[in-house]
Amino acid sequence: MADKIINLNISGQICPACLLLALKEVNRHKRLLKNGRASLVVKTDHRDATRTIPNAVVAMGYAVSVLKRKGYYEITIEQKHEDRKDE
Amino acid sequence: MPEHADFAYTACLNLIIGIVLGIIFHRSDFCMAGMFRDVFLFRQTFFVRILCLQVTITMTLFFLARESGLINFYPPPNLTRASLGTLIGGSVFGAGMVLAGGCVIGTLYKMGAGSVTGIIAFTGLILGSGIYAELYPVWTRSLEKAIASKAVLLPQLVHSDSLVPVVLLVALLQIFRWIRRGMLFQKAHAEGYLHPWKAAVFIAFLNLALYAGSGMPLAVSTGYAKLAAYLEKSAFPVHYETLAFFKKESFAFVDPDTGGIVAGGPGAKIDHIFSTEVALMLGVVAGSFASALFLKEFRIRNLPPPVQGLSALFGGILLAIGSRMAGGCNIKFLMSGLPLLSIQAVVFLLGMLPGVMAGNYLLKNWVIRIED
Repeated sequence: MADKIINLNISGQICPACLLLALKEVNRHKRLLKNGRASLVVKTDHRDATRTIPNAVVAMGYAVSVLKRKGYYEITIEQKHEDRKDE
Repeated sequence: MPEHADFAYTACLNLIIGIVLGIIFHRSDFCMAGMFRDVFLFRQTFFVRILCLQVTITMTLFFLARESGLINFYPPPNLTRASLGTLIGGSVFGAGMVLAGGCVIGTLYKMGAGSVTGIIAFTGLILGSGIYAELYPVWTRSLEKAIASKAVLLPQLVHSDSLVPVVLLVALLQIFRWIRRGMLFQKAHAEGYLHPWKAAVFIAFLNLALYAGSGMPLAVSTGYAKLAAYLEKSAFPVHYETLAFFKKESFAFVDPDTGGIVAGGPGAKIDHIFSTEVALMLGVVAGSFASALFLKEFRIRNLPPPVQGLSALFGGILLAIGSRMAGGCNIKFLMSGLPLLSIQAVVFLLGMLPGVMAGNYLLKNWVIRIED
């Protein structure tokens, strides 16, 4: 389990700001995310972001899960399960 | 004035199809602005493949419908010859689409689901239609001598009936290749998500229903001009009367069933544009609203950052001006025109691409500045 949770709220942002902001945040915390010390939780009210963000970060080698909350979606980006054994 | 029974039938058909379209667009987030923007911005071509699928299915359906006598008008009255205006209008439209964060239908379904940016872009579209009405005399005069294509559709230009089947065959082969490689499918996690390939198939069938039922395939943008006309007529009635744009008819054709003349234009009156485009627009907003409500996702969203709001307004204005310059929008040209191999559609697309690139440039450097 990651010790640190980084929150990113991109509700109300227009396309393609959602994906750009999420990717920027992923790259900024790349080291923490990759070695499992942090997970990034993106809050969005944009339906298409549940397609674009997961597809992009999975291609970058992260694990992703999406939960529907009240009126928005929560996309959690973290270290891949296979990578966790290396620690 | 259209005959009442016929008018009511067309309006109901368009309203119902509009509602279904609104649900489809909302569920699949079928954003045509994003489709073209992301090709240049992220090198993502997934949604363009979906559009190719849609165009191919529509082309098949229109071809079969024409062969079986299901459609009365070929070409449809709302497609005309291409000109320089189509190209320039396409570019303005392409830039507007990116800045507004949605096209003429994207704006409607996003607004229906509660997007404030959608509402701002919608306002821009109405405003832009009004601005175009002022520019109309100058614009048409400067284009008087511009060259126009000899025919409306490519098959007419080359005098060949085999062009559509040949293009169709090539397109179908490509679609099968993509299906085999799984390139028409992408996972999404939104509740009630409708996969874009399914949306593409549904939209193609609904477009055929519109073409067969109201004489014209799917189109939207003149509806905005008509809404602008009603607003202008009520706010500035004297000035409204001086505007030539609101007096013109976009098309007129003879109804084969009744023998009466059916016409439509941007002016503030009940005509065929009202019963088709305005009814459809209303339907899309209502359908998207219902879909969002049903999924418990409807709420008036947060205000976008001010620069993004301004961009949506400016983009909406460009969308309206561009579509009026070109004589149509992306929906009419790409979803309805391309499947008929309309020259206007091809020219519009050629103009739209550099427009999208210009819009992307402005978006990246002014609207969403992301520094690392």
